[in-house]
Amino acid sequence: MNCHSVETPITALEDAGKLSANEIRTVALIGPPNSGKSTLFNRLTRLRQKVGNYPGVTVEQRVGVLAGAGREIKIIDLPGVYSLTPYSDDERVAVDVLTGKMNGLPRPDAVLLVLDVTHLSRHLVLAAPVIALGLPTLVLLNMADVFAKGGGSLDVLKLAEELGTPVAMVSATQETGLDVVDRFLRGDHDHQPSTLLPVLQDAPQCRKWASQVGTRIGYERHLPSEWSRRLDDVFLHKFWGPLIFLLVVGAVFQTVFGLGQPMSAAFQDLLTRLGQQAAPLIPNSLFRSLLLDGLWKGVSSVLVFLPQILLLFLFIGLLEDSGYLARAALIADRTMRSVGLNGKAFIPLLSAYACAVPAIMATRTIEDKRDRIATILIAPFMTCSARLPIYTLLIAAFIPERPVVGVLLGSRACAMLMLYVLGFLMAIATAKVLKSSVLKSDAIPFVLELPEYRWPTWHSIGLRLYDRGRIFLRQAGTVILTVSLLVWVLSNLPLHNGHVPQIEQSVIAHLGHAIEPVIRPLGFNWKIGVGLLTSVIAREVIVGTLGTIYGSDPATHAMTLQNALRLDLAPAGAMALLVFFAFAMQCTSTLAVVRRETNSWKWPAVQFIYMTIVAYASAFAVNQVLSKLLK
Amino acid sequence: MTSFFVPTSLIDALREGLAAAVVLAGIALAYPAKIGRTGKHASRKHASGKDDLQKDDLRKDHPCAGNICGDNLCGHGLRHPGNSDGADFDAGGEQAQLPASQPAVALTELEPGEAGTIDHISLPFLGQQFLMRVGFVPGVQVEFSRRAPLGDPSVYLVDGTEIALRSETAKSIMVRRAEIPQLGDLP
Repeated sequence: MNCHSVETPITALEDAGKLSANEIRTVALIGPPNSGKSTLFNRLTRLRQKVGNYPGVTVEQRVGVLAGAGREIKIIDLPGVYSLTPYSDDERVAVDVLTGKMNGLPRPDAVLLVLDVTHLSRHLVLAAPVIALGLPTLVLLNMADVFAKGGGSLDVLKLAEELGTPVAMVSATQETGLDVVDRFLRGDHDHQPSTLLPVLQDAPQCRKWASQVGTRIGYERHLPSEWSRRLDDVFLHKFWGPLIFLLVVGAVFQTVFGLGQPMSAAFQDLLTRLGQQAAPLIPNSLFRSLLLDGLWKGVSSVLVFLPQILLLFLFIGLLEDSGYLARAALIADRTMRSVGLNGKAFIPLLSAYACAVPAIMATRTIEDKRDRIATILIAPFMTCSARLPIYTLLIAAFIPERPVVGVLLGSRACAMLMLYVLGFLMAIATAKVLKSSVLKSDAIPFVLELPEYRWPTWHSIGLRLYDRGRIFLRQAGTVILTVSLLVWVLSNLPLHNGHVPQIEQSVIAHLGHAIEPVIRPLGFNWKIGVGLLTSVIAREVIVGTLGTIYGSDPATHAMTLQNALRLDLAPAGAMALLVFFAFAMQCTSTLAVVRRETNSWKWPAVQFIYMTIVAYASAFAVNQVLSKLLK
Repeated sequence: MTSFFVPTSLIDALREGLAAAVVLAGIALAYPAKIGRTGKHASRKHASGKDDLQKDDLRKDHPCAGNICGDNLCGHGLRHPGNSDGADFDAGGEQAQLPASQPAVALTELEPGEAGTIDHISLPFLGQQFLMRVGFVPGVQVEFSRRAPLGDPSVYLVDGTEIALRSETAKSIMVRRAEIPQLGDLP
């Protein structure tokens, strides 16, 4: 075994119980939360990784291939855990994988244990149960650069002796010392857990053992930079803290809404124009319609989310990597607690005002699984930008502009604001109900670690953007594309003499007629029904559909859509339609993302049914009451 | 298709409305802070008054009375003056430094900047285990760093890591006030 480097001393354990290097095919990567494990995983695999889910739980499974190993070595990235006592899903998954009980994964032949050397006293606690498993283990003391800079020191050889495993100082962010992994996996290993490990592995025992080891290896804590404290004096200041918080969340909102929205629109325009450019190249046929109206539209409706997702994750990346996200959660916690959620739900819920899709992906920062699902379930009630086209259309058509609060607020803006408030109130009410019943948190208290402030690196943020974008396109994209194609098929069948029918003669129009009795009490006619059906792709699609239907109707084809609607729809029905859109889950993309994030069809199904019932009941009430009042 | 019916003034009005909503949210955020702060002070006074009454009971009944749990582990890491070999964990050589009259108080009773040694956690097993895994192990020193701007949660320094707990959690963590201020521990 090669061990010349001072940084990576590997204990001389060359006798009994050797595992030949060629037998190592699978390696598990484990470490406590915030140990820099994910960064290390990305570095080791160079992004050759598959993202999935462990069966039955909302725990993400990442399996990668070790880069530059010369042969196929699989790395399994386990969720961040503090211990191997299986109290949470994360810990159960970690234990099952390490003991070979996880379906579809082989038992790892070796373990890479990542510990943050700047918090060794806390993190060493995990070393005892992991090493006690008896697998060949390499202990990687991460953040060596920060540790050394802060004047910390320890006797690495002595620690290796104490643990009975090789130990190496590394820095995942600086990419130093990582060659030791390769050498470890090439080398022969004796796996003989140290006899000095604590026998009883309860928390106080492990902690006591860790402290003794710390003393024996001469562990000198690095001095944390004064910067963190000083920055917190400002960011968590009684007055400046909340002010900066509001500025930051305002900036996030403004960017995702004010910049992401036009970017998405421009991107959409570009994609549509590309489609139009390509149109003459394909012979005019059903095939062209399938390609352009079905497939290309579907692809665009997936791609169009990308600018907003990337922008939001750029911000979340900056906030999380710098350490401010934890402070923001700390400030928001008090307010969020009143609806039964915790502070980490604030940024995702705020971004849901732009679009629920990136918002639901952002709930990843909420560790508490029940809080996370509750946040996912209420996020689509926030008024996203896809509702604006139908809102503006109906408001402009049915609400006359009158001043309400002097010149400050007109009746139309007031109506719009009320729709925002309506969605918000329903979200709060739903959260309260959920958190006091099915998703009630168990005895596990809310704990928020405040990491030291750090400069975010472009590398890590770039990786995150790449990762999120890829997951969205692959896993949500396929569902969205399928539904778009389905809607296209329904709108283009049955064929008339080999030609695409007018939308009134299509299957979807028949479906619209079929559901008319159901939506009649809401004040909607079959045309609106067709709009509701097509808008399951995305809420704004209803505007296009209504445009097509009214445009091809001889009675209304000369009018603007506003006037056509005014002629065809009673005011009570229009208001009911607004309320329906405020609550209904008319968005395949959201459902696809919820399915992906919760790893089951159960939650999107629950969400769809619940939101549809709420929307139907509210629209029904609005229509019945208003049609009586307005008569 | 979309251009003919969207009055741009409406969108502008919407923007303004949203800006107003953000400001309102800000006020709403700041307001409970004030109520919370004053409420907190009142309850603190009340609680400390109660403490005086309970001191004697605690001294008699508490399992640790007269045999204070050691504080070999301190918030600054693993070196601790007077604990060079680190071998003793329970009731170490520090016993003499901590007079037995120090009653265990809830973590929420500490003032910002004050430190204490964790005595025990009065929570059900799961909650206890969870807090211990995060670092709140009996015998470890914990310092109250600061309150969140809105009064709650509070940030505690344990094992060199800052961890925020809600007061509903922190009140179950019983600590003994450190005699020496924590900064004095640094060599």
